Amino acid sequence: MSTMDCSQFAEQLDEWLSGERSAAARVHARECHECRGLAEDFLAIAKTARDAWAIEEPEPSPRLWTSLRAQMQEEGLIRDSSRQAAPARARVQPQIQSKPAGWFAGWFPSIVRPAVAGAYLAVLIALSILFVGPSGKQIDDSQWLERTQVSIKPLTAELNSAERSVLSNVSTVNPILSTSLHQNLAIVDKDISECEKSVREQPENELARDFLYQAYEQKADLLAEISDRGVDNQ
Amino acid sequence: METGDIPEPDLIRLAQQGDAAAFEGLYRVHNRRVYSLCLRMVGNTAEAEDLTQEAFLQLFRKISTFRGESAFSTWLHRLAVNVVLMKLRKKSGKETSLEQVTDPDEDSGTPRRDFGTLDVRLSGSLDRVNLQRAVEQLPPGYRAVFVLHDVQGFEHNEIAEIMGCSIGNSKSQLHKARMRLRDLLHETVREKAREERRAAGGPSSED
Repeated sequence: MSTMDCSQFAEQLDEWLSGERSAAARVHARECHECRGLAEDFLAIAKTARDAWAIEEPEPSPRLWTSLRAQMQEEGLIRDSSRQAAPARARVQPQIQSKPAGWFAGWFPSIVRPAVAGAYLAVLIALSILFVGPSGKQIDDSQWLERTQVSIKPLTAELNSAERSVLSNVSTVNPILSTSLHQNLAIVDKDISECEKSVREQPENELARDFLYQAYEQKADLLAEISDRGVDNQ
Repeated sequence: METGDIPEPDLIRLAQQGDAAAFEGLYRVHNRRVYSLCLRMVGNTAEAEDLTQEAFLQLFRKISTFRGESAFSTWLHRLAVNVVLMKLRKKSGKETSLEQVTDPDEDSGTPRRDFGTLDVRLSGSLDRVNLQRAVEQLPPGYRAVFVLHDVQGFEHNEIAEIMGCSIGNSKSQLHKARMRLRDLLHETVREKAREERRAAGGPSSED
């Protein structure tokens, strides 16, 4: 016969769910259909939540850090790393895991590789074309496509050149960074490819073009960042 | 040396000096958990990313004030929960206190115990999609406590610190969250059974 009532069982429910089950609670659960059902359901909910969500935590998009860092740079929260003391700089060299770091804000002076600086300038030129171009004028799809392709051609040439240069330098200096770079390049190249497809399908769509230029910015940013780290590691 | 090899207190100290790599190191250590919390709270990846960014931004803005009174992770989760709750409050279009983000009906009285309608057990009939839908129907405060405890594994004393409430309040809110989830999930199971009966050409009501 149970010496525990339902409210007392409810008070011990947390312990029950964590596996600490007193003899009185066991007797009550055996005899009380409602409390047993409650405990079983709570266990099922907790197990489903744990199995579904807790074991494999999702990872946010690689762009999140890029965006966050840009915001921090704008707010002046990040100290210019080139002015850091050498010992601290040597201690903190994160391996890029899945993203390019930093957007345009504030890093033009830090670009030391001519090829990357060139790519950066090309992006700026392309953006200028985008923003000062005749977006208000009535032109047809083929003209938009042609205009976009014309602006992209020198940009992709610069980026390809920068990519070859950076890959060549990094692979000899830092194999780990090189692996990380390849992984990140694959991500941004896929992004670029998807954006290019969108522009081909909807050349008049300003947002699609904007995304494409942003994808190129991201690649230039990645190459600049890796180039910078390659220099640091030399 | 990679940031992953640096003890967290050192990363925090470097970040307090504005070290970009230390910020990134802290972000790398904690971003999955914070994003996961936001995602389970709002159920939408784009929104969860915005909230994660906002939580880290607030963290890094305030990091110079961190003195280690609480665990860094607890402090970060407190910021993240506040960011999410604030967002949910704005969405609902009204300013509410933390108490009001729980369920006013249940808070004002004894939790319902309508066991008579819950003869079917949830075990074996639950999946993550149904659970996510049910979680999204919880009042935000319940949702936060449930995710922190049952998904992220925080203890009640930690949740109390994160949510700014008492340990008893945390326990009480978790119990009510589970009760509400149970009701919602049983309704889902019943609805599924009704649909199956309809598909089989039987009566559409179980009553």
